[in-house]
Amino acid sequence: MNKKLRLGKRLGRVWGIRFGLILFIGGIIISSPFLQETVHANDGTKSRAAKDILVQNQEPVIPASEIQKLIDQAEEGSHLQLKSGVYRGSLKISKTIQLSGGNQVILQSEGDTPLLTLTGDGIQVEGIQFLDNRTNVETATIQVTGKQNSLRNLTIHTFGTGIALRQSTNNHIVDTQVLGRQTEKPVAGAINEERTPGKKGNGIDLFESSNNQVAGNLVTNMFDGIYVENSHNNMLTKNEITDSRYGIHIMFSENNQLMHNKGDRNVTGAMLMGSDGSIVADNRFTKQTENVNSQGILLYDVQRTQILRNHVEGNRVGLYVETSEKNYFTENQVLQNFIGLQLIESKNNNWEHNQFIGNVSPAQAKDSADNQMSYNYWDTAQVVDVDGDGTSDITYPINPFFIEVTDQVEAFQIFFQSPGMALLESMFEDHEGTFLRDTSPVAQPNDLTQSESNSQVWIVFGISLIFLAVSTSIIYIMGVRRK
Amino acid sequence: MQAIQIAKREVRIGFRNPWAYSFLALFSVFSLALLLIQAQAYMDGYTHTTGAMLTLILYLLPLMTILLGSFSITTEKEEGSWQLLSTYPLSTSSFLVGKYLGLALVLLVIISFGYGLSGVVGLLFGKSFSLSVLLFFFMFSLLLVLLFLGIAIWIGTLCQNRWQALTVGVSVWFLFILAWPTLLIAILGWLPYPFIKPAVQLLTILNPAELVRIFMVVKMGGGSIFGPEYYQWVTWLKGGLGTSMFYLFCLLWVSLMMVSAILVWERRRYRG
Repeated sequence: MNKKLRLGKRLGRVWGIRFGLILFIGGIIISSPFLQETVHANDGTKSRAAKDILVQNQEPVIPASEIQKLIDQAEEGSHLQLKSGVYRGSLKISKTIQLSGGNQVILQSEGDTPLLTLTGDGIQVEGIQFLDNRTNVETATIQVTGKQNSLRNLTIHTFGTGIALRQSTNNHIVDTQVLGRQTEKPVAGAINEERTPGKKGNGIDLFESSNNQVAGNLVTNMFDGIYVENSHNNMLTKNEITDSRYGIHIMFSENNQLMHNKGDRNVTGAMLMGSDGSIVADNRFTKQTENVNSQGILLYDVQRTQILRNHVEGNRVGLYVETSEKNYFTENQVLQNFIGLQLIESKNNNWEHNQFIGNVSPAQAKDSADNQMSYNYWDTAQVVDVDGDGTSDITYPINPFFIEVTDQVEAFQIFFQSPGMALLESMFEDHEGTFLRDTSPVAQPNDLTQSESNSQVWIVFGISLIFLAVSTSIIYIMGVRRK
Repeated sequence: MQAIQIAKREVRIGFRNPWAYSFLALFSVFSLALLLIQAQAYMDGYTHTTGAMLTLILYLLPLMTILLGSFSITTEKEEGSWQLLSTYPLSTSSFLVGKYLGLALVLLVIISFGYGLSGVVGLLFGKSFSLSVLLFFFMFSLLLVLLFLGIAIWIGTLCQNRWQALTVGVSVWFLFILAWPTLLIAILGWLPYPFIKPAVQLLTILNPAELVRIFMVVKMGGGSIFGPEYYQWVTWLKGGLGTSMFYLFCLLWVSLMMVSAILVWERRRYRG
């Protein structure tokens, strides 16, 4: 009897331990998928559009010269409604006419000429799909040199550049899609690297073209989404650029306005270089962390530009500012970037009422004295608000030690947030007062709801309980209990 | 099978030892502190807060593991129980492997108690860990414990008594955790530039704390903080092959530690 009891006890203990181990192993196995990083699925706009084209491709192909004939015969100011179908060849328009395809017209390339060339003024083109099969060509699918033209509701599939404006003013490019057909991924080289000939082109490319409006367009898988060079006073609004190198790229162009644009998964959301007096407002540049060189908004040699209410989230660097002066940054949301703000050789810039939240490193500054920062919210700042006015009574200094170390030897970047690095960094205090600092950081963030997933609470509770129960029973059964 | 007996004995001794309970208490307080820090985070994914929490774990857990592990072995020498055990037909390898397994279970119990407690407490106060964070930290702690336990066994093998083990253990901890970047930056700065990166990479692989930290940061989706220099490394580590290679490497690392400790121990056992 006694023996049996002991056996039973023993069995119970053995099974207790096994059960515990099984639970542990189970827990680890369950945990493994959560440790995988979530990959954001492409939203599929690209493939859908390409499919449309392929389906209709099986229709008989009509030479584009038939349309060209109609254009040549048409009188100034007339409206040509094209018969639906697939055409092949290229079109040239030099007089003021309106050309509509009703979304049922596909124009395919033939030879090396651009699919559509607009040399006249006041031309309106709408509702046509362009399938550009040319590779390794210098001209764009649509070349525009005239003025006051309007391109509306077009779809362009191209291996090179979509729409090129050359010395062309007061045009409207609206609700148009430019979809890149090259398969290679966007690569970031050095800042402002030239594009390789024969590779991806730009979605919409403006050169010496001013006062144009580019609005509501979608550009995917191109080199630069919208490229603007030596072109002034253009309005770029509500465009969406994905999977390209730079979303919007402004070079040596003044007084342009970039408003309400969106960029996802580009190397850099918006890049401004050598350009003054622009307004960059209400844009959203997100999910660019996949690329190690990615930035939300990049300013290089830029003066007197206003950066307002932009939302840069999940980039490697949220705001990157180099050799730039007298710019004004306000009410931007800089969220979950690896480096919120990187400031290099820049001075007299002003930052107010921005929010830096969830960034791994909120800001790094190098050789940048005389920048004014105040009333920003930093989730990393130590805030002491004795007088209760909502702003901190102590300043928030930003230590440049790490960026200086890695600037000399990039390989040392591996120590980012290493525990020893934090210690080393804290030894280099701001004795000379040269650190970038927020003079009065705000104590509370503005209307930001804490992201919390309540659905998991019970799973967490369950797992915690299992952890607790198993560990206590192991302590008791294997350790404390006497035989 | 002998190893299992030793492991059971180790767990029994472990949980009758005030050391284990003081670490248990310390780690529980500590994981509650982690919970409080986590509650301040506004975002999911890898953030500054996550980094700060990793740093805290890296301060505590390796030290705890090294002390608990090396003390357990040197105690056997000091108190003469090893001398007694060695009169039995017990192989050195089963002894050390048993020690390793037993200690691993003790430490596993400590960390799961800590996280379990803070998970439950967190829910009671309405500020819980998210599931991924809980499992992420559990995994991170587990890996750290398993790797540093290998070092602890080594220290226990080399040292004669607990005082020696304490000195050596704290030095190793200081080297791997605190002084690591400072030393590397100071020393490698003298190398010609092209040699710096390979040297940093090689040394990083040899430091389990850094290796696990980098792996976990990459898995949490924060790999690009290491900059363009390590882009390929990060993508590789994130993929299936890199991940399995990492686990394989951990296994190899522990086995290497154990095998060499066993060899040294054998030499001392039979040659005095």
